[in-house]
Amino acid sequence: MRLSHRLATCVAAIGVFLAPTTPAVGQAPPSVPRTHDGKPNLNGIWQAITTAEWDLQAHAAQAGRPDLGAIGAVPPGLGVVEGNTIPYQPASLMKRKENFEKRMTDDPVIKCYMPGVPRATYMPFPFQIVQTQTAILVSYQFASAARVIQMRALKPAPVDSWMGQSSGRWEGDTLVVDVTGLNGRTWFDRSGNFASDSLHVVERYTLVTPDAMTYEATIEDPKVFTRPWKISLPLYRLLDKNAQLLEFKCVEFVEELMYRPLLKRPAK
Amino acid sequence: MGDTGCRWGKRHRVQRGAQMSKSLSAMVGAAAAATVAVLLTSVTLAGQAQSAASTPAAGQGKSTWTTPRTPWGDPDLQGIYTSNDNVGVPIERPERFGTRTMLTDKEFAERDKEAKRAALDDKGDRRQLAADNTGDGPEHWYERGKTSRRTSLVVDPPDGRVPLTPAMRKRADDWEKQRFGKGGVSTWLDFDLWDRCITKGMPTVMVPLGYNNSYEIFQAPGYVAIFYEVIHDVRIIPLDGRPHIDQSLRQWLGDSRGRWEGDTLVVEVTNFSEKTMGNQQPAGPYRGGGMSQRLIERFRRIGPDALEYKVTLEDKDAFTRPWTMDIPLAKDDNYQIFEYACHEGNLSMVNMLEGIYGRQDATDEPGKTTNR
Repeated sequence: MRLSHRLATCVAAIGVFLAPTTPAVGQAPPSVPRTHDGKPNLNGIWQAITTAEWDLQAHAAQAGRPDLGAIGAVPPGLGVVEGNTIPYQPASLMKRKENFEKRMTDDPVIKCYMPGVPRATYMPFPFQIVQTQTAILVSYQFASAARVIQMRALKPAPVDSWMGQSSGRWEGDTLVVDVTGLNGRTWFDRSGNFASDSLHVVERYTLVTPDAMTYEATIEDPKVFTRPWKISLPLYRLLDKNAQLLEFKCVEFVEELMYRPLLKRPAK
Repeated sequence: MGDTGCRWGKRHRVQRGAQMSKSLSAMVGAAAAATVAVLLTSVTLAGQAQSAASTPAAGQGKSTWTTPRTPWGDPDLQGIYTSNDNVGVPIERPERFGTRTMLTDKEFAERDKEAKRAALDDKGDRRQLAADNTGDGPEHWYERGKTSRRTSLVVDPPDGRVPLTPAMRKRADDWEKQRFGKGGVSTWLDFDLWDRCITKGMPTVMVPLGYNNSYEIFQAPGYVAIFYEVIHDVRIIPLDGRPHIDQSLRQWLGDSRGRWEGDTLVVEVTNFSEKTMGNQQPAGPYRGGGMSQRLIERFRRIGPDALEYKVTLEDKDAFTRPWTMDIPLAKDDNYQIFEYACHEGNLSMVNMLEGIYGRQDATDEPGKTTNR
């Protein structure tokens, strides 16, 4: 009796401790704002505070391009991959190592290509959500990338694309987004983690306080991985006064890099 | 130039520009031919029997329709719209029409006949493809809606002409010569902002040009967002009365602030960049204003399937007076917007630059190549 009472107190205490960060599955705490149709209100400008953009897995700080010194160096991170293992098939692991060696030239975002999903979410750039009952617009600052999450089931994408096709639904208070039709030409991070055009991402957005949500993405690609794997990280609301998404139209910044070599003459 | 490989059509998702010849002369010739085709089309084509503005709730007789509201009480503008019913209405009114805003029945019949002909996959298109003349591809690839009776998109000044300053008019004319193979293209900076896959530009993005003329409007409390298919540009317009960003901060699409005047969304756009001045995709002779440009946009639902869009442009450095375009939008919720991955597939830019750089007299000074 006494033991079970203590156990019950204990369990309750754990529940209280965990409540702000890990609500029961599919249910947000009552304090989160809601839209007129009663869903958690995800409207706003969000950004990840993480070094997943440099490497999804745990990584120590390291040098970057020597000429950029400290500002080009890689910040350290605990990693966002559940269990810290990305289950590559053997040939894919070789490819990943090759990507890492060529990361200073081959990362597609160097050329201002759209970063794909889930990478757009955790780049060090904000994005804005405009939420309606039938569709949710996600506008990313980087490369003016954008996607519309249709809140209904969709037929297979008619053509592959950089940002894929997104079909959303609410599972309780979690926005679950099924992303298919990705073209496999993006990387997950600057260290060369990658997938193919068989990539299937299931994202879960759960508001845990008015200004924070958890973001999870389950990543599945039978051509590249031996099993599905998962990343998880928080997203934070930008609280800056009059915050707004400014332009980062990076095409302008890569034309010299991409087109100058066609001239086959050195810059003056 | 209107022919980069980045423009994905709803019905023709191929990188058309990728077919382009590496030969500069062929390339410029193709572009010229395509441009001529577009210009001819502009003069003789398309749009809707009446301006949407003049026929609220068209075809529904005396309608009891009222502007729908969002759950929080704002006028509800949401949906997917296209400007395809105004494909082919020239931006600037041809001088022969004077101040007349609508075609006569006879003129309309001719325009409609020409539009139907252009939509056919006919022998002329086949000949164009077979020749050394790939350009933008055949004419029937272009999207078009109902044929319009309107004589121009510009509704003010009354003559329908864009009141460019003499310097800007000269700049537009010079660029037009450049497009026709007369030289002046030497680096990527000599191409317009759409060719470079940066933006179709404000407010040119609303002008129907060839394909992908779609706009999806989203609303949340305090915001209206517009997702443009072309270049996947997004504008998220705050309605909370906040001031514009600091004037030292300049953007390709400017900085937008909105407010409701009755059922009309009024948006003021400022903070344009000197880089948009004269460098945008041409909309008639208009190629973008600069640092002094200010737009006032008006969006108003005028029926279940129609949105009125009017934009007034001011720029003391580019125009002699403010002027206004009226671009009626039709709601089409069955339209499927595709990802417009322009820069990612911009092989035309590569091909064109290789054509230019392969020449003995090539230079990397912008605007200095003698490519003839």
